[in-house]
Amino acid sequence: MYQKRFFSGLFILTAISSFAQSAFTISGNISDAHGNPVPGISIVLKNTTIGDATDLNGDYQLKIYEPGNYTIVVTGIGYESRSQNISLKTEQIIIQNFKLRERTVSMDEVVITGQSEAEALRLKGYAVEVIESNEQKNLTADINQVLKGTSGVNLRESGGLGSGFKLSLNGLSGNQIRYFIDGVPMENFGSALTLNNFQVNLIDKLEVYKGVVPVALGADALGGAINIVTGYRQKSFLDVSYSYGSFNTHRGSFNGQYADEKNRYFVKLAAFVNHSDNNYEMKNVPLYDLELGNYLGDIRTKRFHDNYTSGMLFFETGLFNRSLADNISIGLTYANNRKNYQHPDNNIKRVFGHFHTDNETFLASAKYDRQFKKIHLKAFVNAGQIEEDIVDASTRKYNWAGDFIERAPEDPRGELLQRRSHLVMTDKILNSHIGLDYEVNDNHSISFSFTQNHLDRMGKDLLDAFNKSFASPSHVNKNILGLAYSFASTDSKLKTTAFGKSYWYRGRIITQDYENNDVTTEPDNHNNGFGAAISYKIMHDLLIKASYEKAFRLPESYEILGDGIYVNPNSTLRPEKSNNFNFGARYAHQFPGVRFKAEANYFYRFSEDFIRFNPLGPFGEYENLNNVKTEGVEGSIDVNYRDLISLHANITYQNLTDRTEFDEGLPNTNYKSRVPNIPYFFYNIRFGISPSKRSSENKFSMYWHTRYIHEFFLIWENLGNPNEKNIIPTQLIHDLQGEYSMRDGRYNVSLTISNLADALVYDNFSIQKPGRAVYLKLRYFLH
Amino acid sequence: MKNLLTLLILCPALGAGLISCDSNNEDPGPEISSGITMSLKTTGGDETEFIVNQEHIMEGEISATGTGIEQTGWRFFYPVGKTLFASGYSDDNQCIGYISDEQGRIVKNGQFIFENALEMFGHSDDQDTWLAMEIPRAGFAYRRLHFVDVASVTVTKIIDTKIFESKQDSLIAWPTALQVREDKLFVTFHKLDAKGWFTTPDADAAYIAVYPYPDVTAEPEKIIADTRTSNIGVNGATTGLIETDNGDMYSFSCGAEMAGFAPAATKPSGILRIKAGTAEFDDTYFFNIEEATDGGKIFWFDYVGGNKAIARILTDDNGGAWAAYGRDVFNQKLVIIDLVAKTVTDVANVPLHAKRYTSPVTANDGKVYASIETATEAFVYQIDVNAATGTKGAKINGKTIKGFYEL
Repeated sequence: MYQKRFFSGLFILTAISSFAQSAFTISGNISDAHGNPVPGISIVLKNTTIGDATDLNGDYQLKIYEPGNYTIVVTGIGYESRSQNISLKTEQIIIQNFKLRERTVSMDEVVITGQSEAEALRLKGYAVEVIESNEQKNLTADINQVLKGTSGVNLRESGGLGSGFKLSLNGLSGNQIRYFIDGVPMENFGSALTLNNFQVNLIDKLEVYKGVVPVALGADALGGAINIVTGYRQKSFLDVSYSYGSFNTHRGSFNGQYADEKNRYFVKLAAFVNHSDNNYEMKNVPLYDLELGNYLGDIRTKRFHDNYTSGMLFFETGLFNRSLADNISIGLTYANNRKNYQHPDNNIKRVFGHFHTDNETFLASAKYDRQFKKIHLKAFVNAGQIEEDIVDASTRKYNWAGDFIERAPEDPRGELLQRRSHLVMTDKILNSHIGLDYEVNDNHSISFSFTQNHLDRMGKDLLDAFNKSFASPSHVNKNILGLAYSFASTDSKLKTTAFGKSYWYRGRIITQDYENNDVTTEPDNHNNGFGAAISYKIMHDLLIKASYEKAFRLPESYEILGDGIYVNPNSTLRPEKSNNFNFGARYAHQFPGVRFKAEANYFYRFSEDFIRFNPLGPFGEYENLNNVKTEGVEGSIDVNYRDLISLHANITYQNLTDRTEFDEGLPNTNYKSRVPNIPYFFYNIRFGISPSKRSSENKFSMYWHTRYIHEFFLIWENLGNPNEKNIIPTQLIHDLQGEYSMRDGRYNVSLTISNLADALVYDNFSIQKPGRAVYLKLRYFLH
Repeated sequence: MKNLLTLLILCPALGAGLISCDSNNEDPGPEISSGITMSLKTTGGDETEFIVNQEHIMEGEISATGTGIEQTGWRFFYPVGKTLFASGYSDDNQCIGYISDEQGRIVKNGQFIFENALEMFGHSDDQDTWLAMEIPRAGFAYRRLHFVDVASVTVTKIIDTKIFESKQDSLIAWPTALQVREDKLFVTFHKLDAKGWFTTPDADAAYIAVYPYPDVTAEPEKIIADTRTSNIGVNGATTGLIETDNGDMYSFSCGAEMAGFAPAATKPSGILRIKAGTAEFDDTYFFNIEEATDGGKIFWFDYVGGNKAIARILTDDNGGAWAAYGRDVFNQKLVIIDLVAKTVTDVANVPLHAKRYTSPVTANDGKVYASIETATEAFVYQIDVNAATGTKGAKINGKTIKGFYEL
């Protein structure tokens, strides 16, 4: 919530500055030693009746109408009290944050920092976007929908709820971006735990690292990382929601925790369930006759085999504030989904009536966290089994009219594959992490991080005896070591970090070659990356920052392993590597009644050895083939007028060009041309209005969200007759959201109308997305 | 960054967010076709293929920059009369027929979809019917012979046939030519193992299935075999069997590991004949290409008139599995074969090169075009069949030209 108070915009500013009131406001955030917000802390002005208590996010606000010298006293159970003298003269809004030490830890001074945790992160040199989910928690939205509105982020979906998606961050995309949940890498967690399954009220915030990733997040993130922070440590709360809407979409979530402060233990249960028929109307799809395949014309029809259902159950229990550990916990996760496919993600000419996938994920985790004087130790271990069933077992052949024919008895074809198949892929994963932060003194600190990630894969086809995909168990192991040194000047104006990362990739992969012999491949490679981030506060309100990383993405197992059928293994595959550079400036100012923030960033990526499939006869393999240069700018502004009106807008322009000079010895036709089939210009505008009084415990808010994505070409724009080229047309999508919140946010109801104008929109060539949809959400929140 | 400025200038209403950028291009429609139509495979990215037209192809450059009809994925291009069929391989299950309209523009004349990729093609003698066959890769599946009406680009019937299979030996047929001659359809084929590995456990004989035509039956009338050479044709080439002016037919056998034989054949690469009016191999005819070319193996041929074929010879077979389909080994030489006289003449002035797929060729006044790709360049060559000489023409701004067509 905190950064919302900075939201503001110049044109509104001029119009409304006359409303400015001559009061002093002191606001801020109170967090514990680990930076977690602390609710329920009392803040009073000594010898006055003015006071407040921190909310769930640790935020507080005091209003004072007289200038003078005051003392702020901060007290809370389990924490050392603190006080701070403050002089109110001309400045009307003062930000005063506190970091509290737990009582059990004897420290001689309270650390008073200048920012909230999220703000502190933003002010470090990293190009990081911190999205606090509070504003959207009452709305029918999942993590993907929140990310969509972020500058530099583009998300391309192939359909409705549960559909395949590809997220790009400053031009790099897909597996070049790594995902974490509370710092734990989510690699190979299975399709039931992808971001579109998580509703926003299950999480606290999202950290989006663009291009340069701190060592604490141990992964081979070529283009950046997204860390989901679930928050709410050591507090009791209950957050239950249910939403229903178009296309028979049901989404339920449960997030509850009981924290016993006396006996210092907690029990947490989080769960979600999602379902949608996704039977939205396709406005223009080709109909072919089933027997012969002749084209009969385009029709308008509803999708009839696109249901998606997913569920998750997460249980965690642990101890906190013990001498053994500040926090120690164990957790168990069970998740599953079933996804029906109406058509392949890249082709609407094939229509399915039965093809589906099932996923089942079991995870067990243990976490440990302890502050030893100047050393902070964090560790986790995570083990799991993920089973993915890909079922192409139907003997029927469908078309868009929903008609079908039975195949001839001897025809072995499935809907997608040449032979009917039920492939069961079983992954066993084990990953662990240890992180150490050593605070040498106020100016210097050192961080160490080691992450290990092991994947064991086994495949079995229950229907197609000829399918030998992963028939022999194979494994790969990634180790990532990071070391960072950070410096902060005494006045905190200059902050800088330099880091190095080391990547090891090892595996043992057994495949069968075309003469049916076992081929054992043992990739083993090691790479070193490094980077730095620096931020400097030129003025009180103005910060500039720059960051660089030489980043790697280690090959995925399927890229090295092949598919056991037509994709051959390639043990000589090198990691993708990229030089990522960011330069940005950030301006945040509080005018009377108006919070204003503006940010602009320039990003540059030079990426080499992109891995791409190279066919050879009927076979092929993944090879290191392409170099791509990305240059771009993104900017955002936030304006907030007295929490009454808010405006957020961001804009991104990126130019990706092919820097591969030669293709198999011949000059590359597209050398230095713009890379096709990637959006390069898009913006978001989100306008909010909350007409309720600040003091009122019932609040009504409305939001208008507009998203624009400029048209782009499917294939190189310089090639082909310009009048006949395939394009992905411009998208202009408006969403309208309204919410009503009672009893200080305990009872909430919201209505979302997405794609209000029922625009015909495509993220991918010819793959139409849903039209207008309406969702109602009820949420109960107790804390 | 210039583009950004342009965009920002073009979109003054950005802040309002309600007006989109729209460039106002008047649509003059497809380009006027003139001269030769080609299927050009570009370099870089996904090697997008384009159908382009150009009047003069013996000078300058052939490129898709600003011109051509873009295609989806790797495609087979096969001309029948004045229609060019472009049929998807792994990325697209659609086939499109292109023609030249009254204004001479290349336009879509129809489309249909298929289930498994259509990988083998032929046509009726009158060129009214295009034959296209789905070939599933693994298992004892039907090869589905599509009869396509060329004029309307419509599938009129599909005949399911196995051509040949042996469950006992786990063998299936991989067709390498669909050749219609009068009332017969001749289908040359490889015997592959059924598991889909493309291995050739029975490479050491030539096989042709003979069907009645046009009423093709599910079972062939007979399968003829000849053990003087190996399985006929190679994967991806549609001209394993060609017909000369007098109705004689000639087939080529390769057998090279580089051409996809695993294991390689032990029989010599060579040419067999089926005399006009018969449906049996001609016992009196065998042209041993390995002897005639000092150990070379024939990788592709097509008929160019006067009992002559243009052909590519793998000068050796040292590249490893499937290497003739890649760009690591440049050991293909272009030759003119006199099928009756049994002579092989190297085409002069054409370098050793690598070439995977070639659409059927048509000779005009004894001349044919060829796309010749070496390690560092790709050029069009005009081949004088009788003189067996090549003349270097336009530079190809791309990886290859799959075929040259007159629509």
